[in-house]
Formats: sequence, structure tokens, C-alpha cells
Amino acid sequence: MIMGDTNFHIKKAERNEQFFQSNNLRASKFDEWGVVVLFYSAVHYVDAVLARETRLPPEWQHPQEHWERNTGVAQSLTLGDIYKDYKLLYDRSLDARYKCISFKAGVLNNLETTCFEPVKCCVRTFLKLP
Amino acid sequence: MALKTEDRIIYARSRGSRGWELHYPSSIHHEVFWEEWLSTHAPRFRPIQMRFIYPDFPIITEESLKDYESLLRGLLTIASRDIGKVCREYIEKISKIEAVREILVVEAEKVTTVWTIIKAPPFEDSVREPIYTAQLQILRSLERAIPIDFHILNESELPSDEKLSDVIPSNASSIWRR
Repeated sequence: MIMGDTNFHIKKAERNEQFFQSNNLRASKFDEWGVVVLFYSAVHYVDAVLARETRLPPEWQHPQEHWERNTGVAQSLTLGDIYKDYKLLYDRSLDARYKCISFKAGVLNNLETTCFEPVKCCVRTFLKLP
Repeated sequence: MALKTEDRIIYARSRGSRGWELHYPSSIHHEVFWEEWLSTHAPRFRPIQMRFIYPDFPIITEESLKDYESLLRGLLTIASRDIGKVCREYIEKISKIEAVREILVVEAEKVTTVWTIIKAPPFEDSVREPIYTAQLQILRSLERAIPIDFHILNESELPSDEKLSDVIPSNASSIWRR
């Protein structure tokens, strides 16, 4: 079951990434949606690892709410190091969804390189995925 | 009465006009009360699944469930105490950071969100690093789940025609200001 959860989350994370690539959101004028898609891909990447963290309480291992996930990431021995990267994606996705903040040129690329990629790399390395 | 002990997540939802909701998951102790029983005995509130987790909270009995409203108030008090402790620690850690202007608390149905208002060049994200470090230290030190979340907002990134008060929820309370 836990393995199944991990596979499910990896598939969802990859699907979100494919959406990001195939719609060329990197170059889109709707870059706030690029931020949101990257964040939701990161959500599934961290959930894939949390599902394996059997020492964590169930609500952090299988979070239903963002605050549970954020705490789970902080408490995770594997994910703790990428808390800051994940948290900046989280904050930026809130900016993108709920505020009239216009992301200046380069912000999305910067988020992808300095936040999303480290999260993805940490998770895929831990799960021994290419 | 269908009273079972089972490892479930707390989930209590108000159906009445007060409209608040509790969600206090953790893993220390638990009692589960089933929806069918409570929907008969406490019609204003409709817990779907409840697990009482605070070790210092009295054991839930059939008698105490008759005054279900006070029971929920008691849970809120304990949760508020934990949240207050986290907030004090957070203020202590980040109030020395030059860019931090104000810290506010927004209480919602399921979670208390701590808003950190910073003033820094737009999208200069390195300013946020020590704040995230403080959050990480606090969340890592938690021994049980506390329904608290953190959000950073750089006021310099808001459009010129938008004020901070337009963005922050109207029920926000300021707990620290430079």
C-alpha cells in the first residue's frame, strides 16, 4: 500500500511536470500558473517520500492539509534539507493564486532551478529513480 | 451507543450558526466517536471522526459529551496554548531580522496561519532564508501536530494600487510590529 502511494504520487508529480513542459508555461505570459503547476508537482514529490516515512504519525505521513505536509517536510529526515525550497514554492503559489502580484521576468525560471529542481532531485535520489 | 477506540484522525465539524470546524490530528491518545451516535446526541455539531490527542485533556465520557460545546471549547483552549507558545518562539527568532516588519495571526476553521510581512526588494528571496530557518527549527521541534501554518508576504511586491490591508484577511491580529 505504501509503495502504491509512492508510485501514485510520483506519477502525479511527473504528470504535472509534463503539463508544465507541454504547455510551455516557462515562456507563457500566464507565468503565475507555471508557479502553481510547479508547486503541485512538488507537493506530489514530497508526498511520495512522506508515504514511506513510517516513523512519522499518520497525519504527517499522509497529509490532507498543507500545514500537515509542511510540518511533515520539516520533520522528515529525508526532506528537512529542502524545506526552504519547498516552502518558497508554497509561498509563491499562494502569491500566484490569491494575490495580484505580477511575477517579474525570470522569477519562474529561478523558482524552477533553485527550488523545484532541488525538491525533485532530493526525492528521486531517495527513491532511486532516474 | 457506538463508542469505539480506533486510530483515526480528529475531524469535528460544526453544523450550527457558529460555523467553526476543528481538525486536530496527532498520535498520542485517542477515542473515536461515531457520527451516528453524535448526530443523535449533539445535533448542533457533527463530528465525523474524532481522536482526542492531548494527554492533559480529560478522558471523554458519555457524561461530558452531553455538554459537547464545552468539550470542544476545552480542546480549543489547549490548542490555543500550543499555538501561543509557537508564536512566541517564532517572534523571538525572527523579530531581529531587519526585513521583518510585522507578524500577524489569522485564525481559520482548521488552521491558524502566521503571516510574516517583510519589506525587501521585490523577489529578493534570499531575505526569506533566515525566516524559513526559524520555521524549520520550530516545526522540527514539535512533538505533536499543532494546526499552524506560516506564510511570508513581501509588501514591496504588491501592485502600487493595492494595500497590505486589501490582501491580509480582515480577521488578522497583529502580534508583533517593528
